[in-house]
Amino acid sequence: MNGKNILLWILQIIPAGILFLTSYGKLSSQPGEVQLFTALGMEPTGRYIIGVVEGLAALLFLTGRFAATGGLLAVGTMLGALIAHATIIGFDPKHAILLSTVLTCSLIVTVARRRELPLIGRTLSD
Amino acid sequence: MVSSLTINLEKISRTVNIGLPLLFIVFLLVGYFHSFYFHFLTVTFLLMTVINFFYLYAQKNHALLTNFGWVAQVRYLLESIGPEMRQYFFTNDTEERPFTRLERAEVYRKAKNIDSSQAYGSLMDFDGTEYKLRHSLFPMKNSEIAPYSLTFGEERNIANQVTITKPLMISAMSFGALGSHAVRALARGARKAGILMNTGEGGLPKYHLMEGCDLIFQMGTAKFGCRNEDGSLNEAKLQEIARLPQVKMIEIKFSQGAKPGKGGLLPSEKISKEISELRGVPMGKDVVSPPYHVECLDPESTVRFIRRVQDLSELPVGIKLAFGREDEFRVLVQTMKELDVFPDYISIDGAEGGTGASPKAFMDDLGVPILQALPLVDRILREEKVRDRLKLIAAGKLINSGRMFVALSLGAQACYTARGFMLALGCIQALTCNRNTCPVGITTHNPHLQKGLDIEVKSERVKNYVQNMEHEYYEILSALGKRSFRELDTKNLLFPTRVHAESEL
Repeated sequence: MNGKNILLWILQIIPAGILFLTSYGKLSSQPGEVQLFTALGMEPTGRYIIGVVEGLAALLFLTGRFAATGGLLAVGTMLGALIAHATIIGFDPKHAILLSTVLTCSLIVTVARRRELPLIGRTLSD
Repeated sequence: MVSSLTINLEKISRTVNIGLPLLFIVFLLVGYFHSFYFHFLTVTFLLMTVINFFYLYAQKNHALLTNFGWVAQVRYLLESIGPEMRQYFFTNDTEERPFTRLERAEVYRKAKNIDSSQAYGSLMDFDGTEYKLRHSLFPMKNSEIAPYSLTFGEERNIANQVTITKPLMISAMSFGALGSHAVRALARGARKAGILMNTGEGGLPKYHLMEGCDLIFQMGTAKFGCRNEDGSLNEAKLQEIARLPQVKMIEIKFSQGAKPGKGGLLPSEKISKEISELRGVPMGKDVVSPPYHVECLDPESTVRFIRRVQDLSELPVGIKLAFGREDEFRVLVQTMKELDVFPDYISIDGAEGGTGASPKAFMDDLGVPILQALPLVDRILREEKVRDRLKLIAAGKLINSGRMFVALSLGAQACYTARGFMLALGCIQALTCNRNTCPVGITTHNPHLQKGLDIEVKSERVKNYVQNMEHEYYEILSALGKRSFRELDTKNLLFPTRVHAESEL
């Protein structure tokens, strides 16, 4: 395993860990999450959907082979979260740090491994 | 003529290219003012817009994507499923290559012991483009037909002669090209059916040896299993292999029909830790064997090398080659005559022969097809008056008994097939042998894909295939009015019109 691969794996494990925690929080109906999704008008269906998507993205990060797919899912989820915080909920430091960490790591992994994306991967070379 | 139905891709792509960011903005607003659920679409269209931007302005590899963006992606998606669409829906039963659906189905039925009779009439061509067998007005009684028998090594009168009782053998497929399950299923099937199996050029035949069948050890140009560091022959290792009780013959491979003039090729995807150790090669790099044996630089050194291997192994030793130039082959045969050294057999591999991996140009454009090569080889051997000094084996798409009989009538005394046996194992002709992704677990080392290849079940299929082929051999022999396989000759054949016109056969 070369240096680039090791770095990418680190960048996969970090968001995977965060996403597992946030996914667990959503699926186990923790009060903070319930309050947040109530504010968005998505309680409880939206919370479960996002919880499952986050959990799936975390799992895909750890498969290696489908890390790019996990990265794309995570990027999409974090963009949704960004919109939520920017338009309705507002930012607090804890969420801002978690969001920016997952978004940055996922973006780097997705871009670096873009050729491994199903269907469109082979058209994403420079 | 301009059709009113012509699709203006440029217009469509312009609409899509503008529509994607617009849709992003629309759903952003709808998500904000109506329901947050719409932001699922906001994010989707944002990502599509970003990727479209990359297609249009950043990447330079695909002209279609630069010009049309996402719309061009549809073409790539359709193209990627093209082979499957053609195979399942559009290509007719006699069109596919290398084997048509009809040819494959025949092997499947034989392997599964299903009646292969068909109704109404043949679907093949009768327009003079194919070899046909000429039957006799007086079919031979089955009781009068002599059973097939061929003895290798009898010309040299060596102690370890090998007699086969079926004109069919499993052609060279190494562990490496095939996964362990496939090798073991073939080896077990070969034992049950009582036929010889060629190990391929993959070195010590670990999995081939497991099932107790009789083997032909193939020594390729890289000499895996019996090589010195410099690629020359390690005599001690060869003798060690030759002493294995299951190894009945040695085959020196000079060239292969699918890549004549090129050495074996094992793509890096298929080099597992085990294969890397067995062959003594590094992982992560394609293994490319040299195009020739370091000992064989001209006809004389080649013939002397054959003698050396014969002396060392004390077994029948054959050579495998793809037929190229007549003059070169004649000189080789003349050198054999001069030195009074002959291989115990020559296996001619037709240009249509199979491979695990080969450059396309070599597969398509180099070498002589087997049915054209055989009569030339047979003629040269007869003209040099040495036809009785060795046996001739044919290989190259000989998966059904009819085509085998054509080869046997053109001078071959036995036939090799590799892909026939792969089909018996369940090959669906996915054409992914070089990618380690064989969906039926034959040419892959991926344990998840190999799981579907049950060694016992598939070995039965191999046995059934051999037995049903054998049954058909004798039926055809009877129809041709022959008492034995030795009586087969070119008078049994109706040549394709073009061959008949072009050759003096």
